[in-house]
Amino acid sequence: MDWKKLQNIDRRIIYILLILATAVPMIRPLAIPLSTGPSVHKFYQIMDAIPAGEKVLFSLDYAPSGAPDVHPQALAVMKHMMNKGVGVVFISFWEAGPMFGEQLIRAYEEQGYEYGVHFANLGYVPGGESAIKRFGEDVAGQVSRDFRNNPVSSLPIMQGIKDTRDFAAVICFSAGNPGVQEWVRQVQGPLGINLLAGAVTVSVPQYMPYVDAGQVKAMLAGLRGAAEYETVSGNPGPSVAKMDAQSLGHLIIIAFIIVGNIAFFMDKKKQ
Amino acid sequence: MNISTDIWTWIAALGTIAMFSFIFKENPVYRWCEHLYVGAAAGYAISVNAKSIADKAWTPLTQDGKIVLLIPCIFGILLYARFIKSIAWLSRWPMSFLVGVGSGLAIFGVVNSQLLQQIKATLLPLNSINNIIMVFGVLSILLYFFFSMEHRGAVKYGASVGRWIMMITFGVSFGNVVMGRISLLLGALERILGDWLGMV
Amino acid sequence: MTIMAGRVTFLFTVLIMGAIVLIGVNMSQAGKWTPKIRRLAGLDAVEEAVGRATEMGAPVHFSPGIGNISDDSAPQTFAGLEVLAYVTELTAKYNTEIIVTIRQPNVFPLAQEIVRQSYLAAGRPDMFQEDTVQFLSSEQFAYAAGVMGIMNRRRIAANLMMGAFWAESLLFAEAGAQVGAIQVAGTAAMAQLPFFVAACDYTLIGEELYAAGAYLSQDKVKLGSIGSQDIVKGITMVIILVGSLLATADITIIKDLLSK
Repeated sequence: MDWKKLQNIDRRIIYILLILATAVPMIRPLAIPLSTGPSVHKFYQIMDAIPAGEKVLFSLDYAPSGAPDVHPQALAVMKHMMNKGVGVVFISFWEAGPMFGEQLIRAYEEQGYEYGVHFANLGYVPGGESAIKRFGEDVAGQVSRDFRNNPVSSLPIMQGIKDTRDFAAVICFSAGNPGVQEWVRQVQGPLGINLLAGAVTVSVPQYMPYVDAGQVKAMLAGLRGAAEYETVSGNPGPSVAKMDAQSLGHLIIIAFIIVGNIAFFMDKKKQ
Repeated sequence: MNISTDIWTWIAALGTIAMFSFIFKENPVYRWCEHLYVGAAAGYAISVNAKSIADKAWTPLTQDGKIVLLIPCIFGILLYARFIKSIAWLSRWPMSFLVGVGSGLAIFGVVNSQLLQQIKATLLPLNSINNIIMVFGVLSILLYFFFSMEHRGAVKYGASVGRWIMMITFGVSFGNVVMGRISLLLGALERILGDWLGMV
Repeated sequence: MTIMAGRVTFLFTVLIMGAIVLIGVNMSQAGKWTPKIRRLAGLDAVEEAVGRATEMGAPVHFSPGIGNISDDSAPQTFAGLEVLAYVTELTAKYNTEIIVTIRQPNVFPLAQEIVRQSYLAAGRPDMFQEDTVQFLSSEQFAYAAGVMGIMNRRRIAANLMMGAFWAESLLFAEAGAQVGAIQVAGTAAMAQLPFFVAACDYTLIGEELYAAGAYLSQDKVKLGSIGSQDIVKGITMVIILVGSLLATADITIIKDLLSK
């Protein structure tokens, strides 16, 4: 057997198999059962305990490159909040963030929800970590006009909001820096806000110590976290539909890792 | 199958396929789309930043009379002094200010949230396997990062346990990366199979 | 004047840590205490990589990362530049070409000066060419595409990546592996370490990068700082160990103290 060849399988073959393994179940779902983890349950319980009429803040800190992993989380939590009658305010410390805020709002505006009452998009604030600190301590002082150019003071949803402690929860949907770490460092630590995280899968191990230490109350991990949230909240949606494809994709990768390792060790033995 | 009639969906789907074509070979279509993406991203960033300057500096300064904003505005302009050789040194002032503020913010945030709070969270009673792994894991990794003494004797064993724990963490991290990358692939496939071709 | 509740420990921690580092650095500068930093295996690998490039007659590629010198990635960039000085001297010794690629405009003049000075120090100022240090692009993935192109076209034999890296890390390591280069990386970017560990021949993990900078430059301030940080780490270890043992006996005095 040519073990060398098995260690150097043409990447195009790997890509084609991976695309097939993920595309087919998207078209013909296999309905593989989805288990839900304790972190998502905790996340859901915290959000579900927020009474109607309260407000939560979404910090949309991601760009199109990380959006397929993070945006579905925001969609799932947004749906839950709208169903409960909780107001959602968006802010972003990434330039592309406000665009995702508008995407989240659009569907609900078409259903008759009112901008400024049920939700508001405060837009993008430049300055990274220092901007997060300033915004955390003085919301109105940092943003005077929203993304649609309305004075923030004129928005009913913003009445009574001075700093981020006035939100029932702050959820940082993050694909990198600035994001969860900066929120923990500059706002959660000094002000003790109720901070939750929606993390891009890559960053999950990096944020786990904050969850263990209680600095982040609960965390959703990537697309899988979004799918679990949809399941727990009883609204199976687009993320759940993608989980079959994700599982098959993982199987293909596991298979290649096993084949590659066997080939490596057999080749070593042969030599 | 219900193919989209929206021009933007077509552009997004064809752009995605063009980027995927790199899998087979670098080609002019890929290169064209790559440049288009970089240009569009830069254009979007400029417009958002221009709006931010207008909202957060220009309007409050000119309409609300917040004179104090002149200071950050001047500092911001000075950053560009580096392009004129004779006054390039002026750009060091705002740069020093940025570095100073950045360090100050980082010291407070890092020491408080990433050192003290994390140490506090590690002070666990040694009454379960999980807690023992957590406490001795942290200690062994700290031992690995001792540079002013040689890794010999007991220190060597402690440090190598630390190295093993880090390697396991990297493996977990890598697994998460694979999972995340598949999510990105699914996002792209949804655009093509769902939004564009209407097959999902 | 009273200290805000919850910030007392923070204040004392900063003061004590600051004092330890300050005293350590001063003593090191005065020659009263010079911490001896252990040899890092990754640095042997750097020499091996340059030697391999020499044998193959192919260039060495060096990237000081994509971080800047004015944000929290600055320490990594500076440490990367210190390794660059060492690598340049090695390439001068072995008479091997080095290609340095840069993403940050601010880093470009620094890297150029470091390479020029290192060649001078090695007695080979003639080896410095205008395109030895190349600024490619400040756009992250445009820079990544440029680096990958150079690796492929020049068929580099050694790929050294020392500094702050983000999502381009695996692209670089993959491109380096494709051309069969021996690869040594070093970064404190936690999220990128798994890629480097998996795809490179040797990786300087986290703080090892900073220590490498201090080790190579033998700068007394840096040596004093690294030694002092070891003392801080030692104190931290004692606090964790004693705190956990006390917590096992249901005594929370240290935990309470940290909350003050």
